[in-house]
Amino acid sequence: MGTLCSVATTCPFCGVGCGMALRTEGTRVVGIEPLPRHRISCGQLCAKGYAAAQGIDPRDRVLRPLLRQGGDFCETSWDDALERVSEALRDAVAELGPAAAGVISCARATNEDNYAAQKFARAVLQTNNVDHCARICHSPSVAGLRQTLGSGAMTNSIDDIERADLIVICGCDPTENHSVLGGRVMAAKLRGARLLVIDPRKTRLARMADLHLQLAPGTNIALLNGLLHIIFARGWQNREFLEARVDGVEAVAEKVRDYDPARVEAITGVPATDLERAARMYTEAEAALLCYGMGITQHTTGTNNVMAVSNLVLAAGQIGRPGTGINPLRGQNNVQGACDMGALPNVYPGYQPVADAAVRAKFASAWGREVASAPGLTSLGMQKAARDSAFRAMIIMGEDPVVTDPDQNQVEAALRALDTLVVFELTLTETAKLADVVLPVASFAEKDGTFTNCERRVQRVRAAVPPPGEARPDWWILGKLARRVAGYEGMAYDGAEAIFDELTSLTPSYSAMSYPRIEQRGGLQWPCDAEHPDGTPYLHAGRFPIGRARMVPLEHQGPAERPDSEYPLWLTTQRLHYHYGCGSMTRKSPLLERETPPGLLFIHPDDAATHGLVQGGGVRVCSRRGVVETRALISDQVPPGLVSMPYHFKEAPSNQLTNDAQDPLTKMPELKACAVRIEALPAEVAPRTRAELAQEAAR
Amino acid sequence: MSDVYELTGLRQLADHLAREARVVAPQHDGEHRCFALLSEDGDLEICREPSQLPLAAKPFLFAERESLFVFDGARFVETPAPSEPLVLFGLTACDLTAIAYLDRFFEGDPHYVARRRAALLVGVDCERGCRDGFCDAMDAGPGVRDGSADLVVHTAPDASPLLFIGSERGAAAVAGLALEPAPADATERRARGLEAAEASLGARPHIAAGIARLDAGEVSAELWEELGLRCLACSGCTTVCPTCTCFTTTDEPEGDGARRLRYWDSCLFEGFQREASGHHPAPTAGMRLERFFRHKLGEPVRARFGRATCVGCGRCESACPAVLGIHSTLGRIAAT
Ligand code: SF4
Ligand code: SF4
Ligand code: SF4
Repeated sequence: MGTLCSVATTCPFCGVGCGMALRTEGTRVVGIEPLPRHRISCGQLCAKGYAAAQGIDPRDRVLRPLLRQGGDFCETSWDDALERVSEALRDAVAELGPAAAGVISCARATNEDNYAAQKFARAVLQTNNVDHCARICHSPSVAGLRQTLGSGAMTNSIDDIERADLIVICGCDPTENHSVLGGRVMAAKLRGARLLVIDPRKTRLARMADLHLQLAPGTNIALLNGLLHIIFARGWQNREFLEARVDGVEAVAEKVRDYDPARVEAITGVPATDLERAARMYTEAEAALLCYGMGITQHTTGTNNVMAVSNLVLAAGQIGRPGTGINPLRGQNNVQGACDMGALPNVYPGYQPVADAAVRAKFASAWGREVASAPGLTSLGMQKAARDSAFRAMIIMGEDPVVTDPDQNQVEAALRALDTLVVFELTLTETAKLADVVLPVASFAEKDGTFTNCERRVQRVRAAVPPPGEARPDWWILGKLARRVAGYEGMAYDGAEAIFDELTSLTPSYSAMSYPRIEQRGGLQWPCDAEHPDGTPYLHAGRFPIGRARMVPLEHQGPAERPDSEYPLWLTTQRLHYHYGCGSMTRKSPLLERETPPGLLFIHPDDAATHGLVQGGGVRVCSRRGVVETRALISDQVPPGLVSMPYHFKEAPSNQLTNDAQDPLTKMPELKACAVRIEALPAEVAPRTRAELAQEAAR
Repeated sequence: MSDVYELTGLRQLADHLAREARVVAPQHDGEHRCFALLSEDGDLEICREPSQLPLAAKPFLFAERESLFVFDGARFVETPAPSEPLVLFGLTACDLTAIAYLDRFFEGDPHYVARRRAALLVGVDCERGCRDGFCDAMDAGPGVRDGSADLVVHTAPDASPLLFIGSERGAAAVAGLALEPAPADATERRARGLEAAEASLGARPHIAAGIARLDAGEVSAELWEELGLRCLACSGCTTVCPTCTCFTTTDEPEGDGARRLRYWDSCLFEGFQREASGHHPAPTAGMRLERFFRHKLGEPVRARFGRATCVGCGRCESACPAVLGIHSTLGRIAAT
């Protein structure tokens, strides 16, 4: 049969939110086509997008509920599985109270699923123990920017890249991770915009840039303070803007006096003349758009790093206009939506604080049920409590913390310590393999809903094929559990749109949205309310949500672990264009899987020579926490002294090595800098996978 | 083409053809357009802007994912290629030229040949040039080329559509349809219409100039590397190009054996040509990009197939996130 159906939806991979159509044959998605009229992607996709059909192929999918029996799983009915899960949740709560159970929601799931997850935790389990993986990408953005501006989202739109005459790319690699957006940056550069890149690695955009500040890992605050030092010393700050709209300017100007170019050059390795050029470029630009990523957030100083970026943006007044702004590039397709929906321990949908009794009362009355009042735990907090036997039952919705969280061994220990681990998944991921119950869920191609992209645009996701086997949407499962655990009927929705209509009524920034309006407008950017019925392309035009913005004086503080004689190299982590997250979807594409070996270590030619490494040769990487074997990719992408690993590969998981030292405020682990030592494997010896290394250690 | 008729409308022709076969034509659902099965009450809105129909009708002849055979543990069983009659309705001249090339490329491929034999091709002349098209420069349009379609429809703003019979098969397909003979000046009208369409295609001097520089070996490796630095290996260009034919095969476990599947592949992927030894004939992104363009435009390919494999549809220009589409790249080459 020919391909006769094609359903327009939103890409499930990154936060850019490209439009794609799923071409189906019977009940199978066979191909992907780009959407030329799509508001953001205009007929383009990246390699992940084009390979999406293979990523969700029913092969390898979990088709029926699975129960652990000894070392194996056996299939069971929904009725049995739901009964067991309900019983386990009831037992955990009865024994230790609601704090002993929790839900890890998912930045890949729809807004409707995330809304259901937090509602289930708060109204059914009576706990604020709900979180998702923003913790390991952008929680510092939310925490930092809420303090300084009042909102943690990207202030401007992807279209604004075309309106900027200077684009600043700070600690992110958009042509790899947000490829279609990265393409826009390249196009803008070719049309004459200037490009400034701040990154320890020589990324593709760094090679094209007018200026690349190649700072040492973990020296962001020193560098940003250094730029502010020059700006204030030369009087380049935007005085008018600062007077009208910003508090705390004096304290910052005072603080950065210590960060003279010579000192900053010594800390960061960036020549003083380049600092001066960068400060001039940024303050002289008519409209400068700044993007940042995990190079800023994944540090023990993550929240401070974000605020340091915010200080720079405010000092130059490059915000609140088209073509400007401070734009955290969010990794996962719906991490913005998962945050917006309140899949976080401290906020309800729309960032309404849990601590506010009026907010709690509003939700209790809308949901017709008491809600939790005690503060909740983050995902790392839940893991720690589990290791301390204070936490018993966890639902994980489609995340794979065993691969993606820092310090894998600790994660595994925590999950093993639980009485009950329930995982909602497409396939048997490393995390699902540890579960007591695995519940099969519908993929993005099999359900309706919405995703919110990085520029706050809510877009439709549409079912193109039915779920395979007995898989169901996450919200459906939670609705059934709500009834069994607590006799609560308030989650028995008849479809995704009913959930969306409920959540818009409780989320002020989504209040003027509906499925028909989203479809008419090609997506709607929040805030979308009575005052802005067609959404908001850029934030902070006349005022900040907190009134006046705040600049915050900050001190440089190096990474928690530094190279020393025993572990002499810096290790940082990165992503590759071809893969997404833990690779559980993209690695099913034979084309993407063929592009790279299963695991890589980027290393500078000089370091490779010192260690006797050859291109593609085996290498053993050790940190204080673990050992990984992988293959060397010799490249000047990294400077001497720094090696870098992508985190997509379970065979060679970088998280065996990374440090779980955390940002004190957000508990963001320091994934971007730790110390390692490497040794070449003998020529004939192939790198061993994590599983093989573990077996050997056991022997 | 000898026989010419006048149609009351396109629907008249489509409905007639639908009696004998499934008709696939440009369809839209809101903003989304694609070739899909024409339903009885669906709009028949011909789209003559190739970039708005990114995949054209290619998947109906060369499927993006196709089972070749199953090994059941003991025997190999070929998956029969679909041979149900199909009408591909409303194909533009450039896309028909592309199919003529695919016919030659896939001559010995049983799956392609079976699908192709079952397909009746109905072309439409373009009334005017499209945004990125340069079919005139590639001898592929704007008028449907002789021999590339079974039936050709020529439209003009204030006149009834004309139907030209392009092949015996086309003639047979409309045999049962009561058609009005066209006015005596029909062929002349078409010629005038096509002249106007051709005139409306903007001048694209960089195309000829760029090809000349390629042929003369005047494009430096440095320039290819400068361009290649931007290539993300997204596979967009090869996915939307109506003459890209690369595929890969994989074996998917099934029962006690396996099923061999083939998928569209892309020569811009590093892994595409990497050999088992690790040797790579085009190890850098710049070399892969150069090979793509040489394969579309270069002299050796023109000599082998009697024409460039690029048909001037312009799709790769809008699909490339890295500004490496045909206009951007040839423009850059022509300007150095
Ligand atoms: S850039 Fe992001 S949203 Fe767009 S196709 Fe790639 S992964 Fe999908
Ligand atoms: S190379 Fe580009 S313009 Fe030429 S046929 Fe292919 S997609 Fe069309
Ligand atoms: S579309 Fe552009 S970026 Fe993508 S593979 Fe082709 S040339 Fe490279």
